[in-house]
Amino acid sequence: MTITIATVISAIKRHLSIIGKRLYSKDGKNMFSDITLSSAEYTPILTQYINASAQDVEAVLKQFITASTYSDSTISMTIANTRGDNDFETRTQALAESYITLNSVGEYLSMTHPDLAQKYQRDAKQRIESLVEYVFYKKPPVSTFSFTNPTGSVS
Amino acid sequence: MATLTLTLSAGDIKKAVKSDTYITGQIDKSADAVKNASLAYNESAGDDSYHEVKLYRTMKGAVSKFEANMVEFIDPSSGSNVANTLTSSTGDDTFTITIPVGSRFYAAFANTLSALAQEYIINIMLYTWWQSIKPALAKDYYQFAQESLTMVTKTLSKTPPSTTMQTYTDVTGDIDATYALSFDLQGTKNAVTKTVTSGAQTVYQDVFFNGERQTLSDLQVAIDSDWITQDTESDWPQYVVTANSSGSERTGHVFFSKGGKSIILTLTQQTA
Repeated sequence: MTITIATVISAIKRHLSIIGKRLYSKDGKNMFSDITLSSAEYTPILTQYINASAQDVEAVLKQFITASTYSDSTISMTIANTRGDNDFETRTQALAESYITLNSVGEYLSMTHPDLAQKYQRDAKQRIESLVEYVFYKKPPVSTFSFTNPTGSVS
Repeated sequence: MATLTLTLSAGDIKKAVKSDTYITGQIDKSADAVKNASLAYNESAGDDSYHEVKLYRTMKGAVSKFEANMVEFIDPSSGSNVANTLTSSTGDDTFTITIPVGSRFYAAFANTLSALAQEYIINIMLYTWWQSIKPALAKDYYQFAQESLTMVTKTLSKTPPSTTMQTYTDVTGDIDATYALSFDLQGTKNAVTKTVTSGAQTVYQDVFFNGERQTLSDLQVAIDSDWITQDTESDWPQYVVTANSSGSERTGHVFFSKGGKSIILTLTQQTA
């Protein structure tokens, strides 16, 4: 699977925008400017959270990962489960991207808004648990029953 | 001597092991799907390459154990080795186990024996699989394997001893002018017939078995079960015809020999 960092940053931005636009501080101040980052800040700051979160994914799925590469624009992992679900790679990538997004938001918010961060950290934990459950799924060994009668003879 | 050949399916054996371990994995997973996801995956045998290595190794070992358990039924005089064709490249195909057994091995249970052998191998593989993961469960499979082995032993029986004395009721023969000997040995089983070309007539018959003269009326040809299966004299292990003439008699000999036993038929024709 190949995760595009720009795609994840875009998702993180949407989360932060929603928080900023809809939430107000105790003194009634809109939180948009507190929470969102400037365009110049987004990429360098969030990329480090994204890389760290991707490393979490790599650690828990190490048994299935045969290769991984990290670059400024993408994170690639070769994942193989010989008896995995039919749509294994697509769904694994979706779950991994979701976890990386939520965990990065949680990490970012934990510095300045720890109360808000908890919600994202809980969600991220659930998502990585789902990812582990999904990747460690093994299809039944037999899809249809067939049996060759053992035979014996004396000659 | 006979050869027992069992044909088993490596694919079916592996499927059985994988299915059993998969069921255990799913039961463990049902206790806590998230926490036990990795446990269920890893204790379910196959198809990761290192699982397959262990499955092949334990299958080969279980086959050897089965062969070793057959030692009491092997015919020591055969000179053949117990053998199997299972290799790492067998994959899911069938393989055979060949065992030299005595000629009295009861073949009626050969198919049953093959199925029991497969069951034994599966249970030994499962025992080995769980031994280091769930020793308590491994003990159950060891017990299953022993039960399979008990049943294997029950199917290994010998047929009753065959009649060692084969009665032949009549011997006729002829020695023609070229001293070629013809004979017709009639009995209750597997009569030996050599077509008489000309001048067939009942002649004097002296029959020797292991050097002792037998009278025609109670001709008893001791013959082992290998010989009984032969239908014509050409299938007999060996025969030599000699003939000569002396005065008014022509005399011929037929000599059969195998495994230290011998039969000599002496046919004498009065030519005068």
